[in-house]
Amino acid sequence: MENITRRRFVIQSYRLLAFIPLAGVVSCVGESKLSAEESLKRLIYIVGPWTLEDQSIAEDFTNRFLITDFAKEYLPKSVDLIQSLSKQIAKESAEVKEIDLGKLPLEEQDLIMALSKQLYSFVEVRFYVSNEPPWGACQGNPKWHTRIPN
Amino acid sequence: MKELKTDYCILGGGIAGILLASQLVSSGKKIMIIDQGPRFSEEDRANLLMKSRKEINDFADYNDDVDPSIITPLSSETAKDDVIDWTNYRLFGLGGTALHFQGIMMRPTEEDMKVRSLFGYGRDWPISYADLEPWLLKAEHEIGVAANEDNPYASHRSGSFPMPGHPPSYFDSKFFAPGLKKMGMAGHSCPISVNSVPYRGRSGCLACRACKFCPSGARYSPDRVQMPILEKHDNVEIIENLSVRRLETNQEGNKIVAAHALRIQDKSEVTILANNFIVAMGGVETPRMLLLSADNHHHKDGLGNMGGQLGRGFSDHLSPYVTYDLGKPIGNRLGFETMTSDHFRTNVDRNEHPTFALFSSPAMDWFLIGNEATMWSSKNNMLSLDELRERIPRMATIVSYGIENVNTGSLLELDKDTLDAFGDPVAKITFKLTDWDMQGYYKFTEVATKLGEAMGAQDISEASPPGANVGYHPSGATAMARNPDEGVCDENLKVFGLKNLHIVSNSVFPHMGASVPTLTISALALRLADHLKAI
Repeated sequence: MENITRRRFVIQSYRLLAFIPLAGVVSCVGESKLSAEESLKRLIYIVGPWTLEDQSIAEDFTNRFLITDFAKEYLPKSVDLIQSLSKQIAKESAEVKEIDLGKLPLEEQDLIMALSKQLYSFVEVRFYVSNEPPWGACQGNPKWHTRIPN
Repeated sequence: MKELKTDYCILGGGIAGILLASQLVSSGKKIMIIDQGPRFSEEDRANLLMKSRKEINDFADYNDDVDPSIITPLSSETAKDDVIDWTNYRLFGLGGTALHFQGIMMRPTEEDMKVRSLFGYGRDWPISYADLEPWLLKAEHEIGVAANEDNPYASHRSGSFPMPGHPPSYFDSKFFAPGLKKMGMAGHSCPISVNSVPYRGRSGCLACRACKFCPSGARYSPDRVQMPILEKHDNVEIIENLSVRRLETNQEGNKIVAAHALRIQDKSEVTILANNFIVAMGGVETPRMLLLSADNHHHKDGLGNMGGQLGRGFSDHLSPYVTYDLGKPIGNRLGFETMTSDHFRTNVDRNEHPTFALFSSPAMDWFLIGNEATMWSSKNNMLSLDELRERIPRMATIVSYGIENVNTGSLLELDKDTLDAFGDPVAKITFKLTDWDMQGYYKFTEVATKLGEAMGAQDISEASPPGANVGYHPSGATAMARNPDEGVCDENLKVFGLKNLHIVSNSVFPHMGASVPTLTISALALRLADHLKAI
């Protein structure tokens, strides 16, 4: 990370299922040991933008997401969805750069799309992706918006 | 029942009421400001910001925890082809809607105030732009408006802005302005009540982008600027959480003798006796108060309604937006616009379509850009997460905060079938659009699409529907006019037929044009103060 921006790192980095080894997640899924909450956490990690080194940021966000009303839409289907995704990802790649929606049931396709639209509409997530500090954090520089982007 | 007495009773502690009081205070007369909502503290603002983060709620707001039947009593006609479901985005609380407003401080144009004479639609103002201009200037200074005098489309101004504009953003310089130029238009400074430099003891903007709760105080809010001064005066009393339900007239029906109110907490009765009453309750509650004050004698259809004009001419702005992926990162943002274009406020044939202004900002907070970014990153049943993450920093939005309209047939009335928490009929809005109104929407869509192409956008969304974002600028339901057959109050904002009742809000606008109304409301409040002090 020393010589590259976080955003470029985001582009280059692997995004795994949660922040535990993929094999472990798949194994857990296979054994049906993941709860709806744990499954939704992993879905958010997959779809969301956080890098491995920003695990604590992702966990903090996800924990807050789980106690909002937003989570209600996804929780009932999260176990099935993470199982479907795990099969796809385990089979093809450990790197979650894209999701083959065609390999998911229609209902799960809709849910993945809805989660993506939801996540990337949050100011907090957008600012993370754009390498901007969080809302409310003063820059103290009235010309910061004139800067050439990284 | 408690009885209170004062000289000036101002109903509504929003920007109009507080600015009015700030000018009346020097008269030495007793002033009472009454608001249905609470006084928010700096701690409340900080807590709201934390709540917004804790709950991942970008739309956390000041009235979130208040019973909606108290704060936003409203019903709306069901949407049909020419009717739009109308929502109310106003706030209750000392500071009013300015607690969470964006702070854009546009002036009307000269033409906006005489559209009937010049173009044959809408209603003329009974005063001219020249009459209002000194008060617009004074309002800019009282509020603290940051802008440069670089707007080639603006009407005459007699003085300078009190502080320079914010420098244009990277996005404005590299995308918006060049795009406008390619289309033969000019971008210019966006007048905004966020300090670009320290002003009258308040900080300059510290670029935290949480403007709704503005931790630094750089963004104007009347409860932070004028109210602390008012609170130091012995002749001013500010009462929160008191809901005025009705105004009572004398036997002759030509004077208000009392305002009857209920405390929010326990619904105990309070009566206010005053020499002068001023209703400053915003574009919906001001006309509703006049309707709720109907009696069985002289004012059967509401106060000031002898010409049948109360509630007629209700108007608002359509505020559609278009989202782009501009192919390159567009840079940081301040949380508010630094550039706008008034091109389509003056360079249009107003017989063909309404006027509108163009605002742009790198993906403003409240636009759900994840929707477009996800759709555009999904092709052939593959959702590319890498592409999606690449797109987000390239997303921008063009919006018009106000497409002018006339809404022939639009109406604000009482809905006797729907009662608020106090048992009174709520306001019922019928917001209709004419074909001419819709031409403004179509023109904006056309211009925004071409502008996207001129800025080099690789993807351009469709415009949001005409009914999206409607509800921010309710106006026109108690219009100023020369006589009761044309409006509800005269050019000095005195309600027709009542000696001591004045009103000030955007409900008095005969026509709103395409400008965000706050500066005009403020100017009218300052002008009213001058008038009241003289009588």
